[in-house]
Amino acid sequence: MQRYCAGDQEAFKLLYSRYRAPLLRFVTKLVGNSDEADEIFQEVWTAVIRGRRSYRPTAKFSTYLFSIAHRRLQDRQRRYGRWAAIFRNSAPPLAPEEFVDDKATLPESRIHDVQLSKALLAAIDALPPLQREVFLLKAEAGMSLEEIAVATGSKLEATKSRLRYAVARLRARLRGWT
Amino acid sequence: MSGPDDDTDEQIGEDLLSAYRAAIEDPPYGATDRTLLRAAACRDTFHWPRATVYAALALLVAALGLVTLPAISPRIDRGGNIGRQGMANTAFPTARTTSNFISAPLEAALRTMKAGNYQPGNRKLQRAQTGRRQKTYDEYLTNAALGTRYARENQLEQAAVALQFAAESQYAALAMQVEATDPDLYAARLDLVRVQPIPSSVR
Repeated sequence: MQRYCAGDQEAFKLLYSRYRAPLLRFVTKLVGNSDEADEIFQEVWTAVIRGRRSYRPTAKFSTYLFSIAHRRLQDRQRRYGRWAAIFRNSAPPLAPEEFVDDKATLPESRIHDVQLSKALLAAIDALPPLQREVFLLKAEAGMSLEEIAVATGSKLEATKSRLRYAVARLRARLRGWT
Repeated sequence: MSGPDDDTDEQIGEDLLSAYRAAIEDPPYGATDRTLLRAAACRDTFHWPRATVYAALALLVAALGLVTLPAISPRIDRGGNIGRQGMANTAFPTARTTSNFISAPLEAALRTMKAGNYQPGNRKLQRAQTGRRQKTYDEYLTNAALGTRYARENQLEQAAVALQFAAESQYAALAMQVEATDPDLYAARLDLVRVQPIPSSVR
């Protein structure tokens, strides 16, 4: 990012290629609507580009980037009034048989992995928004708990609790798979 | 998958995180990506720093001020004639030359004060002011400047009208009052109306 601030265009391309997919997945899984997710995604990167001249490396770039994303999501929340209005509501747990693909020709173990992946993604979608956000920040951005707390403007203990609850819920939903 | 109680803070759900990372795919590049990369590239082109723009604007305003200030500073003397001799213009028409224009109360006040009856003249002036629409200081300056300009261009009728408006201003009335009561306060009048000093030979 500092190289980009100094005018190195290739540095931005590198940053973009590194964080593009995690950020897009993060936003998409929180918002659910791909059009809105795309809009927020653009807003976040536009903020990065515009903030180039005033950027100060006080934290990792991932913390900076996902902090912007978090604030954009909060703005949407304020606009729509409630988290539930823009975030997908929790869905009931899905049993393993619901992920069976009749046309699959993969080895059985591979089929199981694919189905487990789908179940895991569905279970993540079913998490409450705040827990989902923390889990995704850990998964997509690889941020530590302290960094997640900074990015979301929460206390460390609250962040830790949310992650623990998220993991507990996921394990409960995936119990049929183990 | 390991139980929740076995995880340390940083290891919380590490198995699930790994499973998630294995389950995801990178979305393909699209128009949004191209747009953003292009936008990032455009930001690299030169643009005027904000401070430079502000400095240039300030210089422009200052230059305009230097150009316009002399033009709007009226040259005033006590002469009753409006002529082209630079300082021979007046922003305070006397009763003799402006009786057709200045309203009766103001004319009466001026006449009274010039006769030396300052207190009655002052009262008449105040009555004249309260009876008239109060004009702003900027209006006074503008009208005085216009009168000066027209007089220089020998457009006497226009000059007289502009000077009439200037004379109707509360600021002109105040200046006339000061001038009428004490000629030594002429400098004070200059401060009030911010005009250039008139050579004593012209007064």
